Amino acid sequence: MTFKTDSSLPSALGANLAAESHAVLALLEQLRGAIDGEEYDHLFEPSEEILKNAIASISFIGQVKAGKTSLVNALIAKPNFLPSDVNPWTAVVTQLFFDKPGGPHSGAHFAFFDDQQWDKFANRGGRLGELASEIPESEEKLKGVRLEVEQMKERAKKQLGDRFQSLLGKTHKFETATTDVLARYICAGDEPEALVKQHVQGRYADITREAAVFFEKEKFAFPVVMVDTPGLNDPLMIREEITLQSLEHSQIFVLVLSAHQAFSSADLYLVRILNALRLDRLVIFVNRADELTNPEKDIGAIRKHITKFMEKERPDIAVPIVFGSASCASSAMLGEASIDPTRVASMELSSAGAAKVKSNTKFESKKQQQAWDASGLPALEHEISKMMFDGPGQAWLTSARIDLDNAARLIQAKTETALDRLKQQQEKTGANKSRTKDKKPTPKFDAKHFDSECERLFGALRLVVERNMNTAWTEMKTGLQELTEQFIVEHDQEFAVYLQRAKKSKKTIPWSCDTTPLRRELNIYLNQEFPQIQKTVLGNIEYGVKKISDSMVESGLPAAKNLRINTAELAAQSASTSALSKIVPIDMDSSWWQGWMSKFMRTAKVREKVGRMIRAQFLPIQDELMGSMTKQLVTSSNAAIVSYQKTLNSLVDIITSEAERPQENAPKDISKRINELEDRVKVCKGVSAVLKKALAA
Amino acid sequence: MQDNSSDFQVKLEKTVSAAIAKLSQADQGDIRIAKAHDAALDLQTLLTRPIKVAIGGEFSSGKSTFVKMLLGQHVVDMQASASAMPTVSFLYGAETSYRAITAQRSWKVRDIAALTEGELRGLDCLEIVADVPFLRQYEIFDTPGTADPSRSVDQLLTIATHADFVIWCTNATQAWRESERRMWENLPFELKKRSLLIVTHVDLPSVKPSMARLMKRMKKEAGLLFKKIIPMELLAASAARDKSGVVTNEESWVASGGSECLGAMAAISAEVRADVFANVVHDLENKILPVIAELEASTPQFAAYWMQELSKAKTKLHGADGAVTALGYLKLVEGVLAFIMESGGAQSAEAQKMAPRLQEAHDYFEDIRHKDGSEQNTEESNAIIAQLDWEFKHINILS
Ligand SMILES: Nc1nc2c(ncn2[C@@H]2O[C@H](COP(=O)(O)OP(=O)(O)OP(=O)(O)O)[C@@H](O)[C@H]2O)c(=O)[nH]1
Ligand SMILES: Nc1nc2c(ncn2[C@@H]2O[C@H](COP(=O)(O)OP(=O)(O)OP(=O)(O)O)[C@@H](O)[C@H]2O)c(=O)[nH]1
Ligand SMILES: [Mg+2]
Ligand SMILES: [Mg+2]
Repeated sequence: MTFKTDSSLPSALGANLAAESHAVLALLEQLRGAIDGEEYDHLFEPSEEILKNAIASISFIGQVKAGKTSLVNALIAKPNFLPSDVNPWTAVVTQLFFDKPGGPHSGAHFAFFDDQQWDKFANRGGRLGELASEIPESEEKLKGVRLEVEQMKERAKKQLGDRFQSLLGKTHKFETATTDVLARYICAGDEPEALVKQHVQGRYADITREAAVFFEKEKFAFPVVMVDTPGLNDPLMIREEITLQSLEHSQIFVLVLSAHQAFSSADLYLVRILNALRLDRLVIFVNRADELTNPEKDIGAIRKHITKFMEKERPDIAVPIVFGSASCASSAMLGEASIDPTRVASMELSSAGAAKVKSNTKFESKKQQQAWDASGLPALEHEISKMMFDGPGQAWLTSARIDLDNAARLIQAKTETALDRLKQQQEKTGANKSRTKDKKPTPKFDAKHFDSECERLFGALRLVVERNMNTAWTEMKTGLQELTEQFIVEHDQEFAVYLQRAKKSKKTIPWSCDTTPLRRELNIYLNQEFPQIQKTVLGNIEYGVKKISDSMVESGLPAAKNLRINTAELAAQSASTSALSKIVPIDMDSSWWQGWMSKFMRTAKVREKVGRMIRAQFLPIQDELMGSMTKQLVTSSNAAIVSYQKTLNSLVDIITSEAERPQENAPKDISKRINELEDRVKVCKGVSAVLKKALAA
Repeated sequence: MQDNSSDFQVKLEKTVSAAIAKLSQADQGDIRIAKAHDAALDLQTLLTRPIKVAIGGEFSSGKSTFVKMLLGQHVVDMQASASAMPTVSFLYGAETSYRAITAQRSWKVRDIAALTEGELRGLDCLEIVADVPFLRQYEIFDTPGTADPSRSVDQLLTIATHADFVIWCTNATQAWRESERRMWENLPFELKKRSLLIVTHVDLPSVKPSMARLMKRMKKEAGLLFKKIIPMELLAASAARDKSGVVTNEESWVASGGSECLGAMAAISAEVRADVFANVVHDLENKILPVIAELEASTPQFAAYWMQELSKAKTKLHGADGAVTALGYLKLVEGVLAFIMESGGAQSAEAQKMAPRLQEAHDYFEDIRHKDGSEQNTEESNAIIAQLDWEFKHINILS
């Protein structure tokens, strides 16, 4: 190896997320260290589970031969590890795990289809299946896919002969994953002419449902799984289907485009599917920039072209676009001999304007370093890292912090109850009378009051949330309708002018009503309104929780004041506007015209008809938009409320169990005990203070 | 084959020109003559027109680079992302000129570079006339790339229906994808059968060493959908010829696929021409030559004399018996023979050729006028006269 990667550097992928996550876990350990016994373990579980199981999943998607596999190889610093080719090659979704929580950390697994999974696959199960109505596709295409599944089975039988049946549903495991082994399972391979006897490339590809390869953390600071997928727009449509059905399992997407033809209709289609699945963590990597004829000139034009469409499809976010070359990056790692200086020079030209990004990959040779730095890979890692932190990372951290804070508060409450008791005992024995004299007595917990108040207040909270949401939806619906009507009026005027012209010229001039502006306006409107409603709901919840905690304090649960409701998921929601992508332009084609001309329909009537057509298309979409957004907010607010109620119950359990503990005699070392417990309270308070600060940020 | 076909072409062109010359002197008021004249003019354009080739492919696949290679010179600007260009047609002409064309109108353009993106998008076609030798044989349509998300209509489908064949460009780095296959599926089978698939960018190091594997897949997936699949290094092919299309670097011209490509285009053109010839021959035989035959058969003086004498004789002989009828016709034939002899070279060669037939008829009538005046004699005489009449009119065809 002529290069080193260092996962401890701040430039390592996932470094900032790892740092914050470690900080939270350190607090947790601090808390754990301050208490004795395992009785609190269940309180640590939620936050510990979130952070210790967290793994960021990054899918590399795009058209066939965009260079996805080459890019993944370069990114994981193993050039040529996954097999690649000039012909469509990756046939199986391949997951490369680094530091997978709970392991394994070496070897590879290949899981085969069984009949049931095959059927589910051929008939599109999962979220993609549910969203069929949102994804513009011809029934014919899906029929083609089904046919290909059958052919795939046939091919597999030819490849595997008698073993075919016995392999279904099984998993093959390898202790070490080599490129040769991988080639047998995940490559398309060449069409078998006869029964295949030896281990050849692609032998098992047709029956392999999932491939997973495991590594240590290596160059990454946070657990990640890099997912290489079969290319889209392959004449074998099954490959596209395999990839589409895998999308919902990832959080971050790298759309790999070829600089030769960056962003074609096929790429637009994929972006719309991501929208429909509400997967919006997207980085665009324009690969093969080294092959451009005039990099300086072309890069600007390509960026403009992509931006034009992304702004239309995702007006709410700025999707980062990185230019690069997987082969330039690989050549850096393979050594000076494989570097093509003209390509490096061309990459340097194409990245001339971009900001310099630090990388945790260091080369001995200057030439290699130069090739790596120009390859666009450091910038891509940087974008992925940022997205990991802002996306799944923030949600994990916030949730873990709230859960840990609640744990700290519960422990504090319990400790304080115990402390009170000890102090009372101490008082009884006469010692230290003066110290506790003026402390006002803690009100006694009233279980009955608690129960009735809980029922009343939680009921009220749910009702308020529901009612406010309903009002908001009605307003939103009116807003959407108004925009649509306004568009119809504006369009009507335009159409009237056009009709007159058409009548005069007595010709059939094709006309189409471009509904893109309306779509854009609705999108902007929804993206403005949704956060408002979200804010209202969050406000309602906050207010309700305050009321509840006040009342709980009154019921003799002073610690309830500090418990938090975990609204991280609710707050992370964004408007799902994917239904808008279903809108198609309304065309008046020549047959429509002939109908109109021949019937001598009155102009006013034609105009009315156009309005009706627009309305007919938009109304169901409006309902769908509202429906999906309601579901989103209701589900996540309910989940938050339920978990808050659970935490309160834990508090009650702690307090009552402490109160019901049989009276013991005062321990001999009572003041030492008191000091210990007071220290413990201090630790709890300290942890809470740190978390509070982090949560406020 | 090439020579034979061009010989044949020369022959056909001569025949058609002669027909046009004759028909244009005839009376255009006669609907049959006017129609034949138009048909002949059509045939003339059909015979002399260049072969129409539509260049198709997804955007940035190398279509414009391919056209530039064909023409041997750069005429339109190129860029890597989808360009705003409408279909650009290249025609031959001694003077360079440009026209912008929409469904409603067309107008002359001075400077293409001055057209804004919006203006370009509004056009159906941009016509470029240039003095490029290649364009004497081929008319080229460089169509806007398909799969471009900013275009909702694919002009290729319209253009292709007017073309003799299509050349589809696919980039070797992402060759022959589903979107291309689906677009190609829309074209008529007859057209696809004589079309070419050009695989561009094969010079790139990422594909060059693996071309054999790539071509194997291409042949399997697209082999039946095209006449031929040709891998090409367009930039090298361009450099291997000079501006007027003369090969300056033979080795590179062959290695880059240029020679194979032009060879294939020539072979397809020959096929197209063979079809054109068949059409021309058919139209000549059915629509044009018969009219000319009539025209020539009825040379005014001669025909008028024959018709006049014949109708005189018919009126006189009305109701006469066999012997009289035969005698009457004998006199008619003698009269016409005398007319031909008297006027000598003044009559058309065709009329001269009728003389032996008239002599035969003369002998026949001489023979039967001495027979009994039967019904049969009248009938036979009338039949002979009808036959003669027909022969007079159609003498051109018969000779
Ligand atoms: N010049 C150049 N070639 C590249 C680059 N990336 C990939 N390639 C080449 O492109 C070809 C395809 O690369 P792959 O990585 O197999 O592409 P893929 O997107 O994974 O393809 P499928 O799995 O079939 O969808 C290979 O021959 C690579 O060597 C790049 O950045 N520059
Ligand atoms: N290396 C290499 N580059 C090529 C070849 N053919 C085309 N190119 C380059 O590919 C790019 C796109 O080529 P164009 O000819 O503009 O493509 P097009 O199909 O006309 O594109 P649109 O008009 O946008 O649809 C240009 O930068 C060309 O220089 C080739 O054979 N080899
Ligand atoms: Mg791949
Ligand atoms: Mg072009």
